[in-house]
Amino acid sequence: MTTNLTTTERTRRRYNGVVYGCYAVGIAAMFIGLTFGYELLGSIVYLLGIVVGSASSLLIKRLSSVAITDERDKRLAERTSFLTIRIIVTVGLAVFPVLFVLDAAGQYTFTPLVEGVLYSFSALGLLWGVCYLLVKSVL
Amino acid sequence: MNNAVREKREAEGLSQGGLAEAVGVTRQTINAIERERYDPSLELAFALAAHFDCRIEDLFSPG
Repeated sequence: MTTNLTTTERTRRRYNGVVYGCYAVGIAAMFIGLTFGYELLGSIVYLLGIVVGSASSLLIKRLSSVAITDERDKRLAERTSFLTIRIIVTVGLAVFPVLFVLDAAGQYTFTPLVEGVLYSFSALGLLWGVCYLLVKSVL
Repeated sequence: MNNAVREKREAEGLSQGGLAEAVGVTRQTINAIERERYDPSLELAFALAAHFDCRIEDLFSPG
């Protein structure tokens, strides 16, 4: 199927290519570095890729009349974030109290991995709460 | 939300990209609105109505 792209659409795709290209180069460098024993170099290129990609995104937003994203992208991000936090909260509320009870009854022992997941979920929940209050203060 | 965006756009002989450019969103957003998978913000609904020189009620109706 042939699509006639407008100038704005072409520019938007070019901008997206620059931003996501920087991220992709950074991520690829990290994995290549890990695979071939150049961890430091890979990490530096990864960091540069993420910083340059994010800075490019901000600069494009400020300086260009062509937006990379629009209101639907924002709504997609909002719904995705909501779904993610809902899954985490549901799984966390369903699983962790049960594990605590079993642990107390001596039928289960928390492994370092499960403890890590528990702390990560808790930290994420706390961060969500802080962000919620911040957003609520302006909405 | 039902809408008549596709009919109005095609009546004008505009592509999705052309309409997207005219109202300042991406082509994908116009496509999603036409497929009734995305309800636009009030701001965009007003922009679309202004573009087609009609009332919002002529473009959108509760589904």
